[in-house]
Amino acid sequence: MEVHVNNKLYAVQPGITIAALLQFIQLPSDKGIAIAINSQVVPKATWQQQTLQSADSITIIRATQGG
Amino acid sequence: MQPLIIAGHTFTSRLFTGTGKFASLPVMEEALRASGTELVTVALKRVDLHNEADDMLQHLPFRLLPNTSGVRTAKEAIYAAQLAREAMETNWIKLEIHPDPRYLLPDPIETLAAAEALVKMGFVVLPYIHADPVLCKRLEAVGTAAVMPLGSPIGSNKGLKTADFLEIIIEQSNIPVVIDAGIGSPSEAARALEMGADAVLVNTAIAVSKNPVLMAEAFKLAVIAGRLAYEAGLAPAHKEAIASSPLIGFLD
Repeated sequence: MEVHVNNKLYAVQPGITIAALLQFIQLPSDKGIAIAINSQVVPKATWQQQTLQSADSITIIRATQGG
Repeated sequence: MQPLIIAGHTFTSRLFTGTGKFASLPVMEEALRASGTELVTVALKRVDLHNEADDMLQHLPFRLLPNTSGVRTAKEAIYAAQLAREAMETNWIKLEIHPDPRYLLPDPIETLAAAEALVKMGFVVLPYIHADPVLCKRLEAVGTAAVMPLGSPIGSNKGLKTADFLEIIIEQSNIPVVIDAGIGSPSEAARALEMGADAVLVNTAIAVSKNPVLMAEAFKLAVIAGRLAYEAGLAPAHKEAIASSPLIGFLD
């Protein structure tokens, strides 16, 4: 199935979890990042269980320089 | 110098700093250390999936204050605050909603609505706002931890153009007043503290200086001087001279 991650299209296994997605896109550490699915923030504690649906839009953010 | 307490957290430095616009991360870190700051703002961005090397911000030895820069509405601000809390493991949020990119002036209506909602969600809310004394009282009433009125537009370095209104805000506020935005020089930071502001937030004036590390130290000293002057109590001003030396005596 296909999902969008930060507006880029990825083909992933159906039923993939967030934790598995992070491995797939080679984001090695979950420190300092936050994830939302379709603009709903997903708590880190549920990343191992939370699965994705086809056409989900996943947003991954982290801190950057700012005032 | 009296410490500053915001939401139960004690700060010995009354200089808050931003992390934007520095030429490099090592210069930024050195400048932040020289400033003595204990609270630094950071922004949020989408992770660049093909270029991830810049997680240095996570390791800075300061309390991080994520901001909501980039949002245009209360709804977007709440979403950004939730992301920030999850990513940075802090419930502190600098609430800033400025839809107009030219002047970056904060939207008071969206800000008040977002502040009220975020306080109810357990956030420690520090809202960036215009120097509006009425809005400050409204924000205090909904439970923000501080107010952050502007001196002049973000990054403008024009100083305390709103000084008369900042004085009213300081006089009326029961929560800390942090002057945010527009402070361009250490003397203006000192003046803000002399006026009774509890702290200042400085970014551009340090980051864009030819020597950010030296400028950071200058701001550190200015903020200390301004606060000490406030605690000492400024001597009153007079129209006419009042002699400091005896005018009679040795020629008679």
